[in-house]
Amino acid sequence: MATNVSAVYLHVVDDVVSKLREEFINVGVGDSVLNELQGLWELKMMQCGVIQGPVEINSASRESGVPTPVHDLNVPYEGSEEYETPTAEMLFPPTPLQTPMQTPLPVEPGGDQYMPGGYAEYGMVSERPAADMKNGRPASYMPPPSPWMNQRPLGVDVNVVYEEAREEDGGGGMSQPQPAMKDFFMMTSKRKREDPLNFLPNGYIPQQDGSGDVSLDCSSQEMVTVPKNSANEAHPETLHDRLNIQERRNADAIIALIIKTKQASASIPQYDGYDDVYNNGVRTEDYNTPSYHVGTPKPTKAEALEDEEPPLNEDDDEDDDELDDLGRRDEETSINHLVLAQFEKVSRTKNKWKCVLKDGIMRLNNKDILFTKANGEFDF
Amino acid sequence: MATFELYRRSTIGMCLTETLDEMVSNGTLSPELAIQVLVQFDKSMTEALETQVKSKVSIKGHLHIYRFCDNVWTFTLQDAMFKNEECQEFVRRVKIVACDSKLLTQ
Repeated sequence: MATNVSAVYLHVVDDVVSKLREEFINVGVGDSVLNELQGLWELKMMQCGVIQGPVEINSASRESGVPTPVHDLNVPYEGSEEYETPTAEMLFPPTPLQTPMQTPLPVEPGGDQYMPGGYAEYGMVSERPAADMKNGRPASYMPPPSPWMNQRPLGVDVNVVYEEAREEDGGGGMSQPQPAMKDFFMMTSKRKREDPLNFLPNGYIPQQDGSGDVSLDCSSQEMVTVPKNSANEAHPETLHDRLNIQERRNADAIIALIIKTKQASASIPQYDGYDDVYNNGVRTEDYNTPSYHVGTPKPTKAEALEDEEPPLNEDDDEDDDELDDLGRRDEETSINHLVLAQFEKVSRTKNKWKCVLKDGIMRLNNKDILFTKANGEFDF
Repeated sequence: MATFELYRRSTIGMCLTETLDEMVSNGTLSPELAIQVLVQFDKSMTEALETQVKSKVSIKGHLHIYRFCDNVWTFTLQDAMFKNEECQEFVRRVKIVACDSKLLTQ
């Protein structure tokens, strides 16, 4: 049977070559290339052991090439001079005898870049600080930290000059909103254009920082107690003065309410991780103990069963893929056996499979077998 | 005319593919001509299997994996026995790739 397979293969080779000869000549490649193709093809098949014949032997002798040199293991190995085993002298060359004394030399600008050959590294090291001092130390310059870094970023108008009236030191811009609001009107850089005292007599304060936030109609009805600690309140003497004071108080109450609502809305929920804890302007975060669990869901088999979903069985094909990766051209023992054919019919009854194949090539146990018809019965 | 390219994965097909790869790499052959060679191989191989081969084979084994995709059946058998008029072969694991024979006759 092997000769039959070999004969069939040779017939295929001849058929392909003969039918392509005209095409090769038309293209202009020539007959020699076709012959080279045939020779190489047959040589490879002979190396695989699928064909035999006198033609292949000749081509094998022609293409065998130079045999690889064999080393005589009975003779001790003597390497060439290039590959001598390294000695201590080769690995650790003797240190130079020359150790010049450290002499403090005056350094000129740019002079440290050029060193005469006689100086060792000691001289360079000692002169480097002097050079740095001459050329300046740009890396050591640091601007002083800004005073606003210690303060809370939210709810603070950085343009406001805080008065001494506030009790806490450093941050806490909103601990006493009432005097801050007074100052807001009195001294603020943003409202230089507008005279804070010159607002409309009906208590309406034009807003210049965007659309209206809170309706003044509903808030004006609420009575918010305003501590009487402002130095701007004059002693009411006339009715007009009393009305003015009342208007101011109403305006203050409205503004306080606006600020309270803004404070409430200023607490923006954080969705991007742990609660940021600022300590002296530096965000501190302990990665070992998360404030709340943010782990990704880990599906387990139990969960899959609970959800009534079939397991994916991802590992079922691992062995199959490993065999494919090992390749099909192992000449010693073909690890991957293969059958290539056409199917005429494939049927199944319960777990019994039946198939009818035709015109197939089989590679089994390092042998090639051809068939014109095959019947298969498998149990799943 | 369409051809089945699956025979290129056989021993003879792989030898031809490697030869063509070498010749295209060193510039002896153009890629277009190499593809023509492969197509002609497909036709010659199919014709030779139809006309020059007479043997029949029976296959028995445990079906481990089956797949049908793009009109191609792929079976992976375990502990399969292949019987021929002349000999029989036993393999632990074998893959069978089969194309639809009706596609060629259309």
